[in-house]
Amino acid sequence: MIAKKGNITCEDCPSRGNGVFCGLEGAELNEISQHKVTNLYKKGQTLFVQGNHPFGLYCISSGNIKVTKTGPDGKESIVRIVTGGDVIGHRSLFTEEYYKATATAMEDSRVCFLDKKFIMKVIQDQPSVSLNVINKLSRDMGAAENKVSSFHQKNVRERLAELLLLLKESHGEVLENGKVKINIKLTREEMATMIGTANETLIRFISEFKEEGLITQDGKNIIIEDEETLLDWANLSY
Amino acid sequence: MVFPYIKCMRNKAEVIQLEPTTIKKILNRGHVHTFPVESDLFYEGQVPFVAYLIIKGKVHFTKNKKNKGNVGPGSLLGLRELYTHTPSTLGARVFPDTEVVYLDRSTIHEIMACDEDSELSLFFKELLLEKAL
Repeated sequence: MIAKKGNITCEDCPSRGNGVFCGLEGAELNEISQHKVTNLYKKGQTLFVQGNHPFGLYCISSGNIKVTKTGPDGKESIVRIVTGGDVIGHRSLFTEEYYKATATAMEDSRVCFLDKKFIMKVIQDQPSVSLNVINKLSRDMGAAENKVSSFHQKNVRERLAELLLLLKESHGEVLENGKVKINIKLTREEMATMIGTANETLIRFISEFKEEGLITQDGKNIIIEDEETLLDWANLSY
Repeated sequence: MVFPYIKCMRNKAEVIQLEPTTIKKILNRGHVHTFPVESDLFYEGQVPFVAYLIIKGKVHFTKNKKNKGNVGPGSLLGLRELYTHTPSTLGARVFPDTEVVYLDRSTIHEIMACDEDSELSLFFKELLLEKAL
């Protein structure tokens, strides 16, 4: 298949191997490549908006997308951040509900789209895709359960340590000196909404983490300096 | 021509104005969705994910964040771009409470392959063949 401007085939996708279609090959993967629509989103552009009707599945090829919920007071909180290989929009698609969140590009991102009828057919025909979607849904549910329990049982210091460890897992980049850089630029406000606290509180704890030598900063990126202490502070139960 | 339609260019965006008979036929094949909030259907330089048939309300075209004109009920937009995989030169933003029918690739293929509704099938074939030329 000839890739048009902005479009890439699934075989050439930089996130191939991480996504729900990683079990597919040859003609099956080519069918998806032929059917999908690929677009580049600039930072701040929205993929879908809370309250609108879903019409397909979004597969992230590259970049970072934040999924946010807006409360009745108009405040926005980040529910999760998705990256290359992740899919979004699947929950609303299966439940026939309106989007319960808004998806916005945090940086220039390449996103592929598959319409609902097509993705349903793929799920019915390809057991590996179905299993990967179930796996994805199960992980999402696990993450949501962890978040709820953290909000109830942990203080802000513990929640911040946990967030940094989670970001290390999802966006960590090992540097030459063995330290891990969190390769995503989050504002203090965004981080505060992710752990359910006020900006000022978050800033105070970030300073504390720096003073204790747990983290340092390289521009807007955070570098994990002392993972062991961070694990201890996160008070992880497993 | 199976169903009459008017093709017009609105600041380089192709809009197909459909007749009520055609709209009725399409409505039998798709669901009407209401946009409760103002949202972007597609941005300038992007390929629309689906084609949009406006039933009620309006959509405005944008370029460099400036309004480049509105389209209303009966307008079908994004079909050429979707079918030919061509990025749109304009962005499209929907007003709140606008009702649209999504026509995704699968639905368009289904309509074209369907024998029961041959008029609509021929209409899309004619429309898309013209675009492919």
